[in-house]
Amino acid sequence: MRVFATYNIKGGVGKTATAVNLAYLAARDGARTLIWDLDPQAAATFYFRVRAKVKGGAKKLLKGKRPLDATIRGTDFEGLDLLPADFTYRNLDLDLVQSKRPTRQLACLLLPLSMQYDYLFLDCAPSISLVSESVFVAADILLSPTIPTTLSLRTLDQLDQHLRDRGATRPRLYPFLCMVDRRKALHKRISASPAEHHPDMLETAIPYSSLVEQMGLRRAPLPAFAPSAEPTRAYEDLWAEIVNRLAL
Amino acid sequence: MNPIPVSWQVESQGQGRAALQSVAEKFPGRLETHRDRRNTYLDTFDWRLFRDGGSLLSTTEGRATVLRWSTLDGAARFRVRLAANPHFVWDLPPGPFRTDLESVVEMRRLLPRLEITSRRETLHVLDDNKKTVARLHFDESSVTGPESAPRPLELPSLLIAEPVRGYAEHFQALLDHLERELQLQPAQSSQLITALDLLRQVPTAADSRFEVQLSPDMRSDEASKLIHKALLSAILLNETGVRQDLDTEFLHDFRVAVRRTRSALTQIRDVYPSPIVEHFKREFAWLGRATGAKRDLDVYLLKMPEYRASLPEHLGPHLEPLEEFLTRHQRLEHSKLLEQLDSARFGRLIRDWQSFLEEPLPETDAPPQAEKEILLTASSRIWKAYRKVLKQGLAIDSSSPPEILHRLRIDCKKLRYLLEFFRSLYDEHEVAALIKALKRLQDNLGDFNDLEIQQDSLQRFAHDMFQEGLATGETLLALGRLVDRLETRQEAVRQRFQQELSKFASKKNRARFRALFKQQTTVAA
Repeated sequence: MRVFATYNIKGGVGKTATAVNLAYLAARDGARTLIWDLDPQAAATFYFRVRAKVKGGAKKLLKGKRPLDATIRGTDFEGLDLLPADFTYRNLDLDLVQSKRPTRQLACLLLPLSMQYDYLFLDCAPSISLVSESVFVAADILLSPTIPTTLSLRTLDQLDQHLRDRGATRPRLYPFLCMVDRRKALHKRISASPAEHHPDMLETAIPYSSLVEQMGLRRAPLPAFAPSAEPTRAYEDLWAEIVNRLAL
Repeated sequence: MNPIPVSWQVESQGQGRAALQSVAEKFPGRLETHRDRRNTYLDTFDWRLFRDGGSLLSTTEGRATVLRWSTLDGAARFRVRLAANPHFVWDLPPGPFRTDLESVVEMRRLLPRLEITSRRETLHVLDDNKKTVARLHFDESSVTGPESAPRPLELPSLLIAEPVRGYAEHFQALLDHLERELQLQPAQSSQLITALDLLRQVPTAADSRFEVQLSPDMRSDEASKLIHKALLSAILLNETGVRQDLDTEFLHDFRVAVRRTRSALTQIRDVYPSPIVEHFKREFAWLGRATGAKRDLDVYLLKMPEYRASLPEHLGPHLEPLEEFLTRHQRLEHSKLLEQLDSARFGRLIRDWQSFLEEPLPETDAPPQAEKEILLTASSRIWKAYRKVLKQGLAIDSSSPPEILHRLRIDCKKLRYLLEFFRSLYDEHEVAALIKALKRLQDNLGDFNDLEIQQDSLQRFAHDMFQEGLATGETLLALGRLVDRLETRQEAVRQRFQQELSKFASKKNRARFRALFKQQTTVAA
């Protein structure tokens, strides 16, 4: 099982849209895919029309008193399952501190899932915290959506530095540009040569589109309700590029 | 982990619709009518997937082909979306699906075995958030087989309740409702099995395993003809696949049947008139030769991935010219092979052989062993062949030249064929144990011989490619490395020979051979 985490220190950059759309595309290709909504705001859960409720809350789940298996819900799409969010996830940091091995607990919980799924997408809340540290331990790849602005690129550097300071080979950072607005000069300039701004930056950029915002209205992944729209193609290209890079 | 759907057989369209209607009244839902869907069940010529307890279904969805591998009871195993229908396992992207599928179907072609056209109506049962929590499908389907009449046959209509993971309560409520409100018959078997029954298709192992039922007191010539008839049908069964070159195994199985035919002609002695034996021995030897060159090239092409993997990474790509060379010659040999199969000689051979096998058994002037009970003939032949193998094998030591091992390999093969021809006359488990022991020894001898031939052939290919201007320095280097590897492996195989032989020649096996085959001879004497 390959574990992706969509992560950025900043909020509102399209993390959830990325996790939901890429997980949908992975499942459409035939991969057994699970998406775990770790954000108490429960946006991914909402997109899949699942109730944001985990029996016993985060505490029981983290302690292993309620197996993850029993919490998984099938989405409306073949091969794609969801571990819903719960409002108690807002206290995930506190719950982790109380566990025996705060940063490893999450990775341990995932072990039983590794035979059932080919890909797991962790959709994380923004911030740098004990939760994000646990996600770094569990994830193979950090997918980091980055808006082409000076501040966002600075945050990306901070994340890169932080990962380097940890000294581990995992997770690998896969940043990519998103919410690219071609009408803005700065966006246009930065997205002209993505690799210049970060050596591992993926080539594909996701354009700004009101269709992505409509995911909240339609409550479905973008490729499911707009299969041939431009941003759908961008997500398809992004997923193909990620799969290719993984194969290298 | 995947919840399994529940199906019921439905008598009429009315009953199916009524079921959907009744569920729609009770549960909030959304009705969806699908356009006609064409599903193709894929399997190998010898039904490897079916015999493994699974089915491989290919469905066109938009511009893509979706391939689903399920168990026969409907549990999903793997799914993949492809640009086109796959012909071989290597048309799938690398991953667990391909790896697992390859272990079942190997190099065999995935043939369309039957096609099912379905009209589906689906009721998506929804919760308050309009999230699907269960599905009820009503399927009306018909089936066409590749060899059946062009008119499709109606399959029983099905009502299928499909659970969604994590919504067990909703699914149970749906099942309870269906069982309470409607008197439904659970579907007897999977759609594939029902369709096969309807088409009267029996998914048998049309492979090289040999099975013929003999009785001990049969005349030897009668038994011999039964064996030859079974082998002839194996030849004919594979002929079309050989001609179309669907995959390499048609020719392989064709050639095995030819080799067995010759072996039975010479090994079961004095049961047919000797001019007959001489004539057909010559003709089948010709057929063996006529098909050999194509098979050799097939084998080397099949070995390409293994060759590539055995070389250091930078040399692997330099084998590309070898693959092109082999592919070109393979095509050439295939067209030569077609000429032979279209020749008057082949036509006459099959016709004459068939009519000889159909001729009534001679009442008078039969050849010396023709009327003898087959059990006696079989036992004495097997015992002799076994003694020969044992004597030859035990005389081999580490200084023996490779030719002696080669001779032993041929004699082992003769013994193996005899054991397989006559296995129905003896205790099944005992013979199976002996075949298994013999097979291990044969594998060792086969590998030894095979590695020798591979070295020779690769050197020959290198020479030919050089002459044809196809080989770069790197390619020749890669081939040289390959030959080295093969030589090292061959030495290792040779080292293991003594060990394999002593296992075969163990006291237990000797006692088994004696008990099964020797006693019979003494009784006859």
